[in-house]
Amino acid sequence: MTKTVSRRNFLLKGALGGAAVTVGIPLLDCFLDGNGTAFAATLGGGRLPVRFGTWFWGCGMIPERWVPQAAGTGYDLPPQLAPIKAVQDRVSVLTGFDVQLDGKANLPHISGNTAVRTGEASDTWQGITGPTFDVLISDAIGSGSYFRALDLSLDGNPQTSYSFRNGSSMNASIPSPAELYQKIFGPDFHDPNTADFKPDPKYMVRQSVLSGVSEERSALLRRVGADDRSRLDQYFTSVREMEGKLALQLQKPPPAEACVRPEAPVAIKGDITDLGVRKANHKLMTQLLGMALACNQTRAFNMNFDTAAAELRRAGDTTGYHQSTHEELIDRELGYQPTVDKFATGSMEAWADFVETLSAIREGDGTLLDNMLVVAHSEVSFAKNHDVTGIPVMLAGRAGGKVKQGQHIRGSGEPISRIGLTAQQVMGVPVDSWGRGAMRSNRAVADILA
Amino acid sequence: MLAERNMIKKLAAALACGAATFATTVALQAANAPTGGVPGTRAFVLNGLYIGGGGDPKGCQAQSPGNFDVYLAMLPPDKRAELSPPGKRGELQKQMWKHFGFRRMRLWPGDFGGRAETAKLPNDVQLHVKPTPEQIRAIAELNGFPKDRGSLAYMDQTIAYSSCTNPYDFPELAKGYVPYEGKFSTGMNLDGKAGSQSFTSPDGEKGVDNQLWRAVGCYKQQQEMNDPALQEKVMLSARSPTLIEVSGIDDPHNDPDVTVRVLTGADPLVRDGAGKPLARASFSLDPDPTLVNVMHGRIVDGVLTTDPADIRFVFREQIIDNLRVVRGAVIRASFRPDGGLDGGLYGYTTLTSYYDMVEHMTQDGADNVGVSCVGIRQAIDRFADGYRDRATGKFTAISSEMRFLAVPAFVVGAAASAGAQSQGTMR
Amino acid sequence: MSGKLSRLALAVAAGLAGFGMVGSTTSFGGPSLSAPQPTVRRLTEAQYRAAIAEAFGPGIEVVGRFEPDMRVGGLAAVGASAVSITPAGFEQYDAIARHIAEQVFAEDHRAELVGCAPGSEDPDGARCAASFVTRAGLRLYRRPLSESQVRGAVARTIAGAQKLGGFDAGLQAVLVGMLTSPDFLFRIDVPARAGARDAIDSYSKATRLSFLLWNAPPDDALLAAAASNSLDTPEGLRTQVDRMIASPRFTEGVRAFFDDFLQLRDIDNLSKDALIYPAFSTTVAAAAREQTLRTITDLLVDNKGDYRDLFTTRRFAMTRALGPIYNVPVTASGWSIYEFPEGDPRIGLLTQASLLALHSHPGRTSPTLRGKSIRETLLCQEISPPPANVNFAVVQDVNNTTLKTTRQRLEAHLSDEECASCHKATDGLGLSLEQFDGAGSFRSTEHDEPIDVSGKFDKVPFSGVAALGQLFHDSPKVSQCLVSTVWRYANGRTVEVSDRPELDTLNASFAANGHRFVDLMRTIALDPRFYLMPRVPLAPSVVAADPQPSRRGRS
Repeated sequence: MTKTVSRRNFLLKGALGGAAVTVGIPLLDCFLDGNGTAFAATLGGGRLPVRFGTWFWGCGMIPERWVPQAAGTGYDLPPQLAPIKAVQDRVSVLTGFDVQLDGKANLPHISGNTAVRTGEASDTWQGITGPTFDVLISDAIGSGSYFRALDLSLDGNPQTSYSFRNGSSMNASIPSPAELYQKIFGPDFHDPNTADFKPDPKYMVRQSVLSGVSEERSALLRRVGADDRSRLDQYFTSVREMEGKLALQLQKPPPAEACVRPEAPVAIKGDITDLGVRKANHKLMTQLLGMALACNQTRAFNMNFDTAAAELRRAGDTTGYHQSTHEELIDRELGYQPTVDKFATGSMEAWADFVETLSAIREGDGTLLDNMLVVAHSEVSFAKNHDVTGIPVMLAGRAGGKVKQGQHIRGSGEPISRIGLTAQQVMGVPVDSWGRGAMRSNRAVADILA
Repeated sequence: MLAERNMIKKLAAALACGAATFATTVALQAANAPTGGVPGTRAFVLNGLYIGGGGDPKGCQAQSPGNFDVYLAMLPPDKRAELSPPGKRGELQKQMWKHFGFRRMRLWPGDFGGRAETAKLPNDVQLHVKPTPEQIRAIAELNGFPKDRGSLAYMDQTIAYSSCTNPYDFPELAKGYVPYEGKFSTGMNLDGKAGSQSFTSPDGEKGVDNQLWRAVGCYKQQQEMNDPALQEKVMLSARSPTLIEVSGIDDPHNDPDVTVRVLTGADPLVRDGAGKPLARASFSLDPDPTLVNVMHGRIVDGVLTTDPADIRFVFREQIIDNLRVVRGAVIRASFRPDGGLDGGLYGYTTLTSYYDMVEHMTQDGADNVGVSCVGIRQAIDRFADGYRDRATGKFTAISSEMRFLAVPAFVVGAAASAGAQSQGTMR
Repeated sequence: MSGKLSRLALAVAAGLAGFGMVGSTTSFGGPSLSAPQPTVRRLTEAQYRAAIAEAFGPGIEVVGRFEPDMRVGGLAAVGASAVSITPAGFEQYDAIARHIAEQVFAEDHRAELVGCAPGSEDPDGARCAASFVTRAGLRLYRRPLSESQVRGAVARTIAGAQKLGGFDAGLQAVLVGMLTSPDFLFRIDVPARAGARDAIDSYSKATRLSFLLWNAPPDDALLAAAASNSLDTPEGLRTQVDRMIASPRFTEGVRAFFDDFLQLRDIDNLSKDALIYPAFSTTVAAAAREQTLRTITDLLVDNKGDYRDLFTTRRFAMTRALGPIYNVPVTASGWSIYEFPEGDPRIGLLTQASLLALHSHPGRTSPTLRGKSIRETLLCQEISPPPANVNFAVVQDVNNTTLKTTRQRLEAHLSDEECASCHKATDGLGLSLEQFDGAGSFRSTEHDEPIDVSGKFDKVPFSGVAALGQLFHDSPKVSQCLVSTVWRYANGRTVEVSDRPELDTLNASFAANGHRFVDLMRTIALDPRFYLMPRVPLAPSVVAADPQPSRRGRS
């Protein structure tokens, strides 16, 4: 029928037309999961949950050596990004998204990360009004698993966390692999492969309410003209589809096929502020995290590779990372700060490790990473002057097919809250705008969406 | 009819107040300003303001050492070797602070983590309310600070005692300090003389007075910041931008008589989509009338120069909140083709107002950035060359050059009153 | 005519979204009309939000992404009569509804919005459920629920309460059902029980009236008027119309109309090249939209003004965020009226940043897009899409050293006959706006070459947009286009042959009474013909969705 055809074309043109017509284009393949608010993966027969996590590293990067020249897929890898070569197809790089301070002070190593996570710059912890976006997401998707979210740090300090409900309520981190192991795989481990299933009555109730709506169909169709009959029929078809999805939720969940209870980890020896030791520690922690996710113990996490104002140092070098960012002169021949460069590159090596480790766990038709969205970010771009514009962000994972991987996307000065908004929308949080003041945004980053 | 009546009313009011610009005010009664703003007025907001000077590659015999370098040099060789390695920086700082007895305590729990302990507070001190000087004394005493020591620091959120709060207490930290002794420096001849302390400018102008650069120019940090290309990227933090308004312009290339106001804005400076400062934004003014400075100037071949005047403006950047006072200030600047303004503010910066900014850095900041508050304090005291105090016989101000970059802006709100001269006590 | 028909056939056959039949008549050799049929119009997002605020108060959050509105003939209000709800859209409505229901039953709202619970006198809560459903239903369905509807809701509440172990849970689920029911999401006419075949019942009248004047469902007073059948009398209707126009909510209704008419919603998706137009941002875009709406309501509602004066006004609503784009000092950080002086380039609606930026490319202006939007929107004229094989290379070369201004580059449009047929109409108008760049800022030169702002409107030569504004002010086409658009907006459909007499009368009275917009709305609201079911042509009308405005490769 002309109208239906033209309407579909209308939607397609919107999706392909190039103009940023992201608002109002429905996600046509969305699919509800256990508690009805997040989206389940379309891979693995639509039964695998989609997980979400953040990965934080401190002191940013050197823009001239990190930002790719080319946009889109197949982007080039400048020197500091070279470590991600093996995982580039799974990693998207987002540059040029800014924190807008909105007149507030730029507090070194604080303003940037709190603004990225809350969508608003704040002078003080008390001034932070809302939860970080990872909390908004884990609230939405986390209630179906034993742990709403896992907050992790690698420096032995539970205070290393950028996830909070508000300024006075930060989610403390599990600061070592040993503690993580105890919490997840210790004596109280809940094995999904032996659990008893009980259907949740709320789906039955929702089903019956919708059937009440469907009951009105014939009476309503009789009242209207021919053209309108088919329009209303389309509406009732949509209702029926929804009823079908609710029925799925009333069936026993599938076994967590990739779940294998691991052995207790052996502690890494050495100074945990050393970059090399940190990376080893991080790999171990990531392996445990991966298995915790595969065993559906949680669906959300925050991994902190180091703190903002990174405490990292390197055996044999003259100064630590943070100091170097401020003290080290730009080498006249090289054109950049060499020590800072090494640490920034080292952070990227750790990130590549993280992505590889999560890709190594097979799940469904793909990998654990396929059923996940990870947002990695720092608290500054160029640390020397605490620049909070162009804060580097990377994404990994396909979010069960919701997300396109492997692109370089330029923000061109757009507020970085667009990324937090996009992550929430991908993970099914019903939000149309996010952020406050100058960083309030209602536009997702369309290029990410599949 | 109504317009006429309004005109007469305005005329009467204007005559009564003696305001000099009533004519413009009357013309604008019927409508707001046209596209482009009030004719004959151009205003700018500063997006970069930094200490200028130097230019002689042989000017520094060495670099002035920061606190860590000075302290390490004080240690016996074995201790020095132990604490020099990079991984020991934290330990070094801890020991240095212990050695000198530096103190730093958070006033309120829950702010900004970090290593500082929280101070015990007397009962009459409210949370999150800035303590009075008497309360500061009480807090210091309660927490075992040395007698009559202990000041607010770090955005008034800590109480501290250090070589930055009390530089005269720690003369050792000035050891190894090196002044800039080059023959050349940028700057301006402020006193009309060419003495032994004067420089020659890169253009050959003799008698350039820039003792501030002599004082701080061999610190690595100063050298780095004195770079317009870097300053283009490091936009001043938003909070209280400085504004320059030039009015009474009949010819933007040559005009013997223009009025220049230096103002402190009350609205944030924002970045535009390209990451540069947003041009043509409107700024209200800080309500403090002592922050309105009126100067007289002229434009010759596109270069604006003012007569000297004492000015006061506020510099708020990251953790610094500093009232800057420059006596006998002169502005010399060029209008850029893109509508902006580039130039320098020359004059005698009062020692107190300059040092206030240095103190705002905090001991920790000075440690990390590689400057010594003591070195700086001693140096500016030593090289001060302006405005001798009759009672003490000491100079209270130091010749300086502050370079600036500015983009077009509009001044609104208090713009109508063009008569206020800068007043008030100097710091 | 045959050319038009063959193009129509082409569009239909290719299944493409064709051009809108904007306000013109569909003549297929005089088809016969069917029996009158009820209108079925889906709520727009703005209307949905207004409905929730009306039913549950402004404290209830509505979050989520709505099924997009569709434009027909440029109006989402007409598209509302064409759209349905897709499965994905339904899921969104369901999620939004669940979030609303959660809040209604949350501690801080429950007492006020629900106000009862099962107790000793009402052990299973049936009475409470009935009371809640009746109250909510009246607001949500815009008419009282039938007894069987109430009974069904109560039964489902009790059943749900048993399954979920709580009365609130059961009633909450029923509320979600109501919020996703077609009776809420669609405005469907109900015929009057007695009277003429095409009359609609009182509640249907109340709904039409309220969405026209306030873009919101009927309030308590209007629902009461419907209940007492007073809307069926001229005096009763007049009382309500006068009340509603005097209310501050009328401003909201006028804003909704102009937002739809001028397609200002598209500003939400507007992005500009940050290097070329660094002053432009999403904040600026939103402010530009707000500026246009406030300028319009200041003139037409607050000052009960003449619509034509929109094209010559010097009074622009202004806020700080727009200062850089307009290059003027703006004192107030909120909104105030800024009056540009005589001789200033800013004059009239055509020089407002919203329209100038909306109809430009991300990095440069587009006289063609601007001209096209003026023709289609403000003049209700039809412009066909370009042929598929057009070569855009010359126009896109903004750094061409010989063809410095846009005008020079677009000369190619006018020298080629096939191109000229449309481009004379569009470029002739758009080029006169070239002194305003793609972000809406004023410039007098392009690459150091002065910009020529001459043009021709209806064979009358003019120079500059002030002159064009005056020509628009004086042109009957402009006023007639407004009347036709308001009519289509009110009725939710395109104009048929049988509607022409009504439109002629409206045009005459609009012109005779100072072209006052408020009076136009009032006249339509009081006209008995506004409250009839339309009779549609039996042959399927070729009313298709408007094509997406394409910004690629167009001049």
